Amino acid sequence: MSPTEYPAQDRPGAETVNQTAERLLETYGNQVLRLACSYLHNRYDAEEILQETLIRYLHKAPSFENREHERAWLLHVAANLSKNRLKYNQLRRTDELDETLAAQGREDLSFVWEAVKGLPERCREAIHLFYYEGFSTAQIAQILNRKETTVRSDLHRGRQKLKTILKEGYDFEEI
Amino acid sequence: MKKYEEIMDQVRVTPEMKERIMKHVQETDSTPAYPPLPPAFFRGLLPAAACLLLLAAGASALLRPVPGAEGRYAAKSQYSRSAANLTEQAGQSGQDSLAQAFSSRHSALEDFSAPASSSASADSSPTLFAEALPKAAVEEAELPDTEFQNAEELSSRAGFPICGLTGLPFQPEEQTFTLLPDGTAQIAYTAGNQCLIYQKWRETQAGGFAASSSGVLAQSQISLDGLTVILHGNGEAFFQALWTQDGCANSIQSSSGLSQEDMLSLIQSLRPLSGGQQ
Repeated sequence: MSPTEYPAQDRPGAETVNQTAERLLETYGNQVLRLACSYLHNRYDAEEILQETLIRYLHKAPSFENREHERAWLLHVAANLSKNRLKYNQLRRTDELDETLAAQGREDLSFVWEAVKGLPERCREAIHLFYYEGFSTAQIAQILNRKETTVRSDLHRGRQKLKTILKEGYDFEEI
Repeated sequence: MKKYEEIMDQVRVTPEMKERIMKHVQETDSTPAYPPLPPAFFRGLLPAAACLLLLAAGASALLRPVPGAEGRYAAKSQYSRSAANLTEQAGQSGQDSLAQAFSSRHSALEDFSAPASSSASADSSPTLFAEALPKAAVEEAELPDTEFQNAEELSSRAGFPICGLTGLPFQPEEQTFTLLPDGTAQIAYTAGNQCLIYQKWRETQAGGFAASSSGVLAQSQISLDGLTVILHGNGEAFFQALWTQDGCANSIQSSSGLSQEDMLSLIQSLRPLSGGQQ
């Protein structure tokens, strides 16, 4: 059995709602939360996106052939919910992640975080999904409903901007 | 990348957060709206669905010709048809779904990434991902040789003149000049969540745009300085304008919708170059 396939006991159809929610949180919670955070820049809003994403999943009860599809679906929904929230400006103004990094004395990380936050949304989401989640550009194109060539352009632009800002601190090409 | 990983590692689902979310999930009616069906069920229906789609597309092309638009926009019909199919799959209705339908159209037509605006559309049918996501690991992305610094360079590579729009309804923060693989020249203007895309491509194939209509957005046709312009909108705003001129098809797409006056004004802003150099 492929590692991405469902073990029989984990198939969504065999789970209660609570079990499904637990499984999703355990398996994908951090990834969804981090993607939402990359859009919204604070954990409280990101937590609400994670919660809403789970509820959408539970309500819709989609079928997937493997976990890779399931992960892509969840990140697709989380990305759209995050963008909706940005669109309607229903955001908290604090960035406690930045505050945490500052409290830890990690100015280097704060610098990188500020640089990433300053990227255009299109570049930022492509950078996150490519470098952090490890999706291919073809997969990102599907998750974000874009053409693959556009995703590549967004990635390139994002890298160029980061390179300009971060200079010697730039390390995004090390995969 | 290591630093970005370190940053993201600070963001994690804590036990308290998990408890809050589970509590909320339990308080919300999260039972499935309908019983889940196994993927095999959908696979069995795929041949029948494909036949139905072909029949519907053929019937639409035969029964809904657009006067004066024959032969136009054929280069885009494959994208628009797939967008229409997505819309039909979603089974949406109402104002929000119109916006989402348009978003889907643009997603397929080009690369609009407007977020979903209704609860039913923030997600998508899993069939969107079925069989399509490769299991390959991360690959390095190379910049395609399709992006240019300005409209002049884009025109030179495209083989026909294309100029930028003026009088945009927002102040663009970014402009990109791209030649798509199918030969379409594109100028995209973005500012925050607003996006406006102008595309131009050579007419190369026979076929009518009618076949590509999603059936969700209303279509109207008007004359503008001797041009026949097809507008797609929802009665209050127009999301797309299409017209042909001098052997090229043109399209303006707006993510948030424009008034008819604004849309036509944008088209007119192109007229000096269109009329003089094409």
